[in-house]
Amino acid sequence: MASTLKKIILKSCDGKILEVEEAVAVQSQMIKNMIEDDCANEEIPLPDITGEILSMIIEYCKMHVDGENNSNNELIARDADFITRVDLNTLYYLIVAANFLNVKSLLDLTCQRVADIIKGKSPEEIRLTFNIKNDFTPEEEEEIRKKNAWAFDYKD
Amino acid sequence: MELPNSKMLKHGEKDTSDRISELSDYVLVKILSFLPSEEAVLKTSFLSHRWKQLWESLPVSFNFNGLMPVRCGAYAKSLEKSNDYRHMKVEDRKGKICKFVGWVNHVLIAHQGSTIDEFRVRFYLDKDSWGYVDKWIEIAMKKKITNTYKIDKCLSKVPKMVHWPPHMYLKELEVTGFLGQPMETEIIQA
Repeated sequence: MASTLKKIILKSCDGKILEVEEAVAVQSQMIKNMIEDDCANEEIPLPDITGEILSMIIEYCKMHVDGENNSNNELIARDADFITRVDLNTLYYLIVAANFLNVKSLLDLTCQRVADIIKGKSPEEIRLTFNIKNDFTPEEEEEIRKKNAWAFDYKD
Repeated sequence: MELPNSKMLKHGEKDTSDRISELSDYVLVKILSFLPSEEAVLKTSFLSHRWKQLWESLPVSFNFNGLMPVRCGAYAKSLEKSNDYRHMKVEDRKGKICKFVGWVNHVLIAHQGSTIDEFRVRFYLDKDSWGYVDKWIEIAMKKKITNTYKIDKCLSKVPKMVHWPPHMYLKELEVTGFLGQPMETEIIQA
């Protein structure tokens, strides 16, 4: 494909400029739409994505373009390797960026990763892991406790 | 999503703010969709208001399967080991059934939403359990069940049905008898 030689220029929120092959860039549905609308001839500013996160996303997209001919199992293994290297904070920014750029497979992968982290944890452990603040009032907590008690009592 | 620059952290930097709850509903629902509904409801609907609200608009699919290895916690693991109820002592069987019933009750009560897409129970239930089956039907009927309501693999005959109100959302109810009993199936279609 001749079009793969074309480069798309992306600019991160911290001013990093990245040149990306079109075949890699179109893994993002948002950029693909821009190219189709002929709006991708100049650099594309990405106000919410840092250079570091953008580089990771490009690495991921490149991996998928290069691995097009690989078996499904190989791709799954590479995805797993990619995502398990990511810490929670980075994972969060990857989700935001994958959602914004509309890279569906990466959004699925990152959301699946969060679900895997939730699995096997108690609600209190989930709160601790993600810094989720329990914002229920004592009355609401009591209400929840009552409901749960009923559920357990019912089996007598 | 808005991400003010002051909130940006470098890779690996320690952060104590609750970023995950700041994600859009669309993304959080996507995350929940990767968890079995039974587990997701029990664990996430009591985290905070943000998570509780998610369940209020989300149709879920419950599949309580006590006959297969289940993916939910220690109780489920204990089920994996022993699931042949036919050769079990009566007290042991009653204990197992009691635990299973407690689990289903717990999840149903914990579910904050108004819509259930699918409700399915597979387990060896004895005749003493039918009161609970009636109760599940009653609880679930108060929600909008949009797809299938199915209870099967039971030790006894089909239960006497609870008063069955005409319901515009429920498409199908199926209760199947099993194990030593003549197969009895009751299908009610709206």
